[in-house]
Amino acid sequence: MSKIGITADCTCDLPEELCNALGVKLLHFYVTTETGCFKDMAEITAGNIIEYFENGGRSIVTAAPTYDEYVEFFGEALKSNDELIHITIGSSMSRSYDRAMRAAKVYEGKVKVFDSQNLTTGIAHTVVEAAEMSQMGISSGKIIERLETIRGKVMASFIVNNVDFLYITGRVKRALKVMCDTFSIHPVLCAKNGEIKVKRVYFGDYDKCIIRYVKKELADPVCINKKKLFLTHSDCSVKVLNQAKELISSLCSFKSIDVAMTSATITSNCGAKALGLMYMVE
Amino acid sequence: MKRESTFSLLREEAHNQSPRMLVSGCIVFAGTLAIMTIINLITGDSSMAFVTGVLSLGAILALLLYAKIKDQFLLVLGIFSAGYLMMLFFIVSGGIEGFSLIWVLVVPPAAMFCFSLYYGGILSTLVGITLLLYMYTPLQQLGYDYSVTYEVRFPVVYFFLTVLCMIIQYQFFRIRRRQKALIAKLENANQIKNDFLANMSHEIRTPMNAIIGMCELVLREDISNSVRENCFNIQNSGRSLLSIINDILDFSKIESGKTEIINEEFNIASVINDVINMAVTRKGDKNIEIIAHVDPNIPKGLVGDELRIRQVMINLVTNAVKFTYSGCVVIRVGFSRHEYGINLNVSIEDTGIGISPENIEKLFTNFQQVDTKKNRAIEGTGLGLAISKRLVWKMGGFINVSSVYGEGSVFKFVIPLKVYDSDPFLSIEKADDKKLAVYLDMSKYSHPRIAKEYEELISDFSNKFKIELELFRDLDEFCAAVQTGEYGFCFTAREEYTQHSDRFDNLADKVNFSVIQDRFSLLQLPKNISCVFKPIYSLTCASVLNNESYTHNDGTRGRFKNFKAPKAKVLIVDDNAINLKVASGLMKPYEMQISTVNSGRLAIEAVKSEKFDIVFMDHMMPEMDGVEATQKIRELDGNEFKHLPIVALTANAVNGAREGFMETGFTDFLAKPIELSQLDRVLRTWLPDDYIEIMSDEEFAEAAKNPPVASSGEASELINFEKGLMYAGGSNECYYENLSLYVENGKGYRESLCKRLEDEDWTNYVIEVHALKSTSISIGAETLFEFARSLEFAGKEGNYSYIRGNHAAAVALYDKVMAEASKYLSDNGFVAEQPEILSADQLTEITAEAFEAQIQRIRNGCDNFDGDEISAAAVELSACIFNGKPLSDYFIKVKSLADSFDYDGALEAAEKAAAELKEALQ
Repeated sequence: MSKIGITADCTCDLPEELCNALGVKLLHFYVTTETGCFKDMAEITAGNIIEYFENGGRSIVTAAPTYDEYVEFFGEALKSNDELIHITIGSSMSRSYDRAMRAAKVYEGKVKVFDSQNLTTGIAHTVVEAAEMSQMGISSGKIIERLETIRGKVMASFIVNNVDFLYITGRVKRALKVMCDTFSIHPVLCAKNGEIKVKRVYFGDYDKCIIRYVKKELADPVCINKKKLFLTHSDCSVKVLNQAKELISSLCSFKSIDVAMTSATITSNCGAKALGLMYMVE
Repeated sequence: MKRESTFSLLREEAHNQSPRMLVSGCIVFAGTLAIMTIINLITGDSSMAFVTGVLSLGAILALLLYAKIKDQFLLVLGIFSAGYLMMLFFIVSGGIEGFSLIWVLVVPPAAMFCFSLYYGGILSTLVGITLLLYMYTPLQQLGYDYSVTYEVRFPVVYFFLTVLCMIIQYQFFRIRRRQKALIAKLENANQIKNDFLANMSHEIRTPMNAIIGMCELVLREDISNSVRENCFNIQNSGRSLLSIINDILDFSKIESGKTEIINEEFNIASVINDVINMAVTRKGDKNIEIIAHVDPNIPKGLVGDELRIRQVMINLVTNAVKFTYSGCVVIRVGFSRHEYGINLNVSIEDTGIGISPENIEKLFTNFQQVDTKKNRAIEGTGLGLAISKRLVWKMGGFINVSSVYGEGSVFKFVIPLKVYDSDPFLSIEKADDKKLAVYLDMSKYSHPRIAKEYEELISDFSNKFKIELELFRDLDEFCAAVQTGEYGFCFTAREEYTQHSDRFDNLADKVNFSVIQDRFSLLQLPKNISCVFKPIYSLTCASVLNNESYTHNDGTRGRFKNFKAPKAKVLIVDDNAINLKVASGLMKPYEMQISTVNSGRLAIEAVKSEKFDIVFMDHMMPEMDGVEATQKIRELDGNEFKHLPIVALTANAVNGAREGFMETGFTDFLAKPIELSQLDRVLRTWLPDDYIEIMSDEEFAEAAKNPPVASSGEASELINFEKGLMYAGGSNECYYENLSLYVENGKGYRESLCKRLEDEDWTNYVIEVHALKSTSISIGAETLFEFARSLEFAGKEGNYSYIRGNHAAAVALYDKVMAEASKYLSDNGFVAEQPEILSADQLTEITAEAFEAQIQRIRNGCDNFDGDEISAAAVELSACIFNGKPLSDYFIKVKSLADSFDYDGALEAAEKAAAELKEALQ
């Protein structure tokens, strides 16, 4: 029985404890600011990105690991595994999938790359599933099959406080930003077919919008897979997270609710105090 | 102060208005007119289309003009004129009576919103006046004839609207003005607070230094235990207060933007060394382990603010040690390469009390110490982390914290740095040939994290240095493996050694054996086992593995040097006689030809007159310091001077010192007190290979027969005799001489030091106190060394009040050290070699020629820096009588000066004596 290792991009935002427990290795993205280039999660965090913008930082560029880094990363991971399944952020959102695919060819079938078509802990659901299957000794082919089945069932959405970061990184126009600021619009973004789309918008006080968002997302608990929910956030206060957790528990009885902090790469897009619910449907 | 009128304030606000608002207003205006033009063209109203089209073009022109020359006034004037002309046209054409009425009513709010109350108000009023003039004067006959009801209603509505808009805008203006004044007041208050804190801190610091110094003085007196305890507490509290004050000063500087980041070339080794030493000092006797994982591949030439990086690291390490009561504090220093250089990654991890998630949010907030109830006993301003965060931010990096409450915390920071030399800062010579065995009993560690960290550390050494290294947990296995002779180097820890010292002592004859121990509870080790201080990390590991002086050809090792260099000519330059004596003593076993001089000027003359193979130069000397002397030697004509190895000797082995000396022309660097292994390294590196003569086994065995032992004498609090003996190269004779010289010269130095203070000659005070520092450590007087060091630093910082407050204590301590040294010498029966004082009948008459010949001998000795020759001549003359006068009165002093390497003084005294005696003869 061959040993199958599970690896992923750091944009999966899988909490460190879970990574260690499941033996998942993450490969860092890069975040380039005006002063230097930093390894996501290892050298720069969501909190840092937020501070950077609050202190007047404007330029920020995120980048996937290079082909060489993928080759080296896979090589290192293969030292302790016979085969590898690497799960990437949605291929339409980053070049990581393409690079990982090219790097995988070096290892002649030993490395399989899976396009999650998702982001943040939306990817983490597939990573956890793969890691658990790998621990059970299931073959890589079967794992990939299963991941393809659940890919469309992972619901990933998050509500953003404002569109400042999206504007700074050039993803929304100024007019839209002014409109969102003027009318206190808080968009809910979601990953759909590998792309980020606006799911709905909320108006008014952000804390109240979060409550409305959570209630709306979990409005139909019957079709929700109760195994695990990731409550993902970009530097939300402990108070907000606790409130959200309580609300989630009252709406739907998940076996586990894992709080995850977004990586700097994700934060540079969603901005400060974004909060997301990532779960699977039946 | 002159009060500004509301009108001028309004005008000022208009001038300062955001251009973005003006441009937006102009675009909206031009766009609207353009749409109207199109509508009029479609409806066939060509005259109207012409007017609106021209006005739209006018507004666009104003916009382009503004974009070109960025003059706001032109933009306002352009749009103002276009707007006014449009209104005029509407009024005259009667357009305002129809649907277009709305355009006139839009003027007051739109103009005041876009162009401020000042310009908008003028435009609205102008339009209103034109309206009145047209409707109530015969001008109406020139254009459209308005109905009477319209003439009454419209101006009323218009002016009502204008006044309303003005009132609203004025209220906004007042609010803005109040906010502005409030912000200015707050900023001013903040500035005053910062200035106050900075001034107060500075003012408090001076008397605090005096309090701490006076306590030190009292503590050295013969006082009762309760007074001692109280005094000790005062001193400790004073030190804590001083560190708080320093934090406040630092913070004030950062807040007021006075802190500059100075990017200079530096070597990370000194930063890491300082931080680790500081961590060990802070740890004291606390039962925790300090573990350091330092990547030896970090480039050795970095560009950044070394001082600030050190400050941040020390802040974080201090915090970690402060809040950890069991387990360990782990310091990790690594890097990642990038196009611009590297990112320096530092992480400080601890198994301390941890921080709750709620408190992490306010951790970097100014003046906030989290969990104050739990940490009541821990002092601090809570500024350390706020300062660190700001400094890291200023250096372009980021700082992070993660923690599990009750389990520990991790503080990490990253700083991007440029690289000027990408070679690793540490490497092992001939790494492939070196095999290292480590025996550690991991079960002794109560905290599981410690064992895990040590295992990782050992694995790191192996991977990063690319050496073969094996960790043994079983003693028998370890001994068996070492017995095979496979391993060249072995390490174990103090506890393991204590338990099985007999077995390790046997092994130590075969391999290079080192015991890792805490510097606060030193275990006396046999001579064939070396001591490595905790924490062991890549730097200490590399120095042990690279230190060839510990290894002998036959695999045995010992403390004595295994080579000599009798052909080598060495010049030692130091203004201090004791330092010269110490250095000469240390080099004696190498059998080199040693010359000594006591000034930079004499050093230049010496190298010009004689070819030396290596020069050891003290960097801090009066008149001409070592740096200047070295530069002058380098400037001399001749290639040999450019390449002459000149090694800097300094007691200021601080960060960056090595790099600094290299830049100023020195070849290498040797810290005082000189350590044998380092001296060995320097000599091996810089002496020609053919000068190095490996000692034969017999010679070595002979030397090893008589290992130096500390002489008898009561243990002293002020002098560490063992250490002094070590610095004297292990020779009792040499150490006695050093002590004797120290006592002999002490009185003179003491007087000179007091005189410098009296004259406020701070430059020379610093030089002399520096000399006191180095001579004191060379005899093992560690307390006086520390005291002298604090005075030297105070002098360098210009903190003269500290010197004034502590000088008396230092001198008192100096006296006590001299008394202890004298007692030690007499206890050991050492009597300094003195010329024999002969009775009058024993003295022999000397002829004028013989006298002149002896004086010439002294002259030659002085010219050649030959102390022995001068001494011999002086001793011979002291036994003579010349022209009925005994010469001992004159020449004992000459001998004493020569023994102190003061050849200038000796020559002067000899010439003076000769002149006096010859004059008496005539």
